[in-house]
Amino acid sequence: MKRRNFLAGSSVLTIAALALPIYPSRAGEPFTDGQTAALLRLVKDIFPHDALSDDPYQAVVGQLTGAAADPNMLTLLRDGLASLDAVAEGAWHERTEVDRVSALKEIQSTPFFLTVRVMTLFGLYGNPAIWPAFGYEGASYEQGGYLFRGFDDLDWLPEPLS
Amino acid sequence: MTQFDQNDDSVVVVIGSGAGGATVAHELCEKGIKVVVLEAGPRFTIDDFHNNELAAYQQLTWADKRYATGDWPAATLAPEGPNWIVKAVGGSTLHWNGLSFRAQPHEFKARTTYGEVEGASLADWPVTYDELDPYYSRAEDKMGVTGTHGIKRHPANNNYKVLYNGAQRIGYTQISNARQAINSEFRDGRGACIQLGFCNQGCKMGAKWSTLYSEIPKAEETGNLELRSGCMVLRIEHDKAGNANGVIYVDGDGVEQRQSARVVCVAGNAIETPRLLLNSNSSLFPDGMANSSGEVGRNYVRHVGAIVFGEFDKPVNMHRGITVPGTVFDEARFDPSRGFAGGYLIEAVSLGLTNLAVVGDAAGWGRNYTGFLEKYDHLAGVLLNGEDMPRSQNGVSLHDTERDQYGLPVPIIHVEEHDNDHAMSAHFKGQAEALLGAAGSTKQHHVVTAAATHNMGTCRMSADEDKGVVNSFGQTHEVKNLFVSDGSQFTTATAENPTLTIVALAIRQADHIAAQMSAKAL
Ligand SMILES: Cc1cc2nc3c(=O)[nH]c(=O)nc-3n(C[C@H](O)[C@H](O)[C@H](O)COP(=O)(O)OP(=O)(O)OC[C@H]3O[C@@H](n4cnc5c(N)ncnc54)[C@H](O)[C@@H]3O)c2cc1C
Ligand code: SF4
Repeated sequence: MKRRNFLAGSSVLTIAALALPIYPSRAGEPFTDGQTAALLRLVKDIFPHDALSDDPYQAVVGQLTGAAADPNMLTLLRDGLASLDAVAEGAWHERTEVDRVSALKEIQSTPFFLTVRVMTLFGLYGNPAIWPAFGYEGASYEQGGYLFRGFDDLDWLPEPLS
Repeated sequence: MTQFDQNDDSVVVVIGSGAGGATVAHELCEKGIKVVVLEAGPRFTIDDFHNNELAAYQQLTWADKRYATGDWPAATLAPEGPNWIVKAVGGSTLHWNGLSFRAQPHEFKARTTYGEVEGASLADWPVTYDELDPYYSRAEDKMGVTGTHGIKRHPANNNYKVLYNGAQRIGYTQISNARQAINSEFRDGRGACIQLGFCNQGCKMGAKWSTLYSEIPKAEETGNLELRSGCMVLRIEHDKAGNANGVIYVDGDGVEQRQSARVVCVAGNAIETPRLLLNSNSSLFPDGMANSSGEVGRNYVRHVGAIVFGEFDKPVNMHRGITVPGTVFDEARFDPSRGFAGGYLIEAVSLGLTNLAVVGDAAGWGRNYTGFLEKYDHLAGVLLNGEDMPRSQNGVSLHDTERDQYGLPVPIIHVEEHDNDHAMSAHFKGQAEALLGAAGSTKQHHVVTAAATHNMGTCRMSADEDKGVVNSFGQTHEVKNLFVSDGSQFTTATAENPTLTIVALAIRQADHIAAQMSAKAL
């Protein structure tokens, strides 16, 4: 319950948040190499999918870097990464997955975590490049819908009578 | 294109071009009555729609500021976006799924049938099922509802197969994939469904009924309609005697305009309609127009909702085809032995991967959550749509200080859920797990639905002018040429999806307005 209460203050949740802007991607600067590596580790730990390559996660890091053109966002991200290192008592992103996740649990209600989570949510699952790995086939109009492409191909249950 | 003078005080002004507004406008135009429709959103064409959840949401959804308060999930999960409504010509008929059910006879007598429910403001509708019956039939014909008027139903898609078999195996008997306002074949100038699977994103086939490409162009063909898009109505004005005589709106260039009116019909959906009446206060109507009863904005209902997804060993591919492809009616009955008043429907539902990731768990992250998402093509979903209890304290009010981009007070949507709602959703969860399990699901995942898609009750109908805002024709008790033409009129929620009833009421209202106009009573 406690976890949800913290969300009250952040306006960036549920479907209404789909209106969130996707930031133009930028590379590198203003982050150090270590910070960029930590950001990549972070977005992967929030939504880990072993079947995905780093590319879609890199794209999210690019969006975060783009968003950091806003000084407030830059501070939020830098301070947030520093707070993770503080919890991990060292370079958070070099710890084992178990340690990294337990550090994340400690900060999962902070604006830093919630902001990165929501941006990763849209940046990752809104990216058509990852959909095939999930079996989600995306836009269908160009291919004539599913009427002739398996809308009723489930064959392990009997056909409905009505 | 027809144009009317802004000083022409013989026109009917309709506010909003969704299910209610466009229907009443079209029906009036067919009778030779001149109508100006003012719509806040832009006018798209079918070609503009996106087969993409994010892009469609950004394109169509009403994003002006709103606040949710109270103890409903929206207050924590969607505090600034509690209602999912479209801002565009066609209104929420662009997003909607097309499920078109009649409310049941006993649901129009909710207070009599359910008795006194403590903490609920139940009441009987001032209109009966039998009175609405012919209008339901006209609405079904207009919208092309499958399983009525000789219109054939759709073939079963994958998600429906799961619902059907699971439901049958746990003993349900009323399972159907009919009653969809989605063309199964070419009809009424609209094409047939090709199972795109993007019903909520604007149907690119025009197979799903939407006022954007049915009621509006038909009304325009009569020469009696002028639709002005991009025009947000700020308030309704009245003469000294208290009759509505015009509306003030901001046009697409941001310029304030006034349109005179003989009759005003408000159909902005159940948040914006009461908000507009509250904003139209004056020395004659200090608490808002047509609000001497104090009921404007109260008794808000939105249906009890929840989704359960079942994981299966074998693929389902729920995203292929109609988004909400079938329904179980067994729990729609009145049966207090279940521990709650009112009934509910169980509807098959699919979400695309993006929406599933967003709503699957509003706080979800880590391997537990991503493991669920990785099952995407092995998931089938079932949705709860049940009657929630109206409460006087639930509804729409205006923020004291905060203003939106039009300078209007931001609406606050407050809901305190009734225990009856909780009992119903607990019952559904058990039934949904059993149903999915019977179909072969190995694991179920519960989703809290936050944003309300069915908004009703905020200008309720009552025969008694002290207990409701409008009479059985949607005519306000206090201002005789002011009508409410959308789901705000509903006295109670009923278990059924609301739009067929909204359309039936709008047809009936248009007949009433026309008759009153010829009798010079308006
Ligand atoms: C995802 C989704 C799925 C749904 N599925 C179903 C379903 O299967 N079956 C069903 O029965 N219902 C369904 N619904 C609900 C259905 O869409 C609504 O019940 C119906 O559209 C409501 O009609 P309405 O006329 O009240 O409002 P809307 O159709 O929302 O139209 C209101 C219009 O008024 C305009 N407006 C508001 N205020 C102003 C103003 N001040 N000035 C000018 N214009 C204004 C808005 O921009 C909008 O275009 C669904 C809704 C959603 C969001
Ligand atoms: S499934 Fe049918 S109704 Fe839905 S978007 Fe596709 S064509 Fe339209």
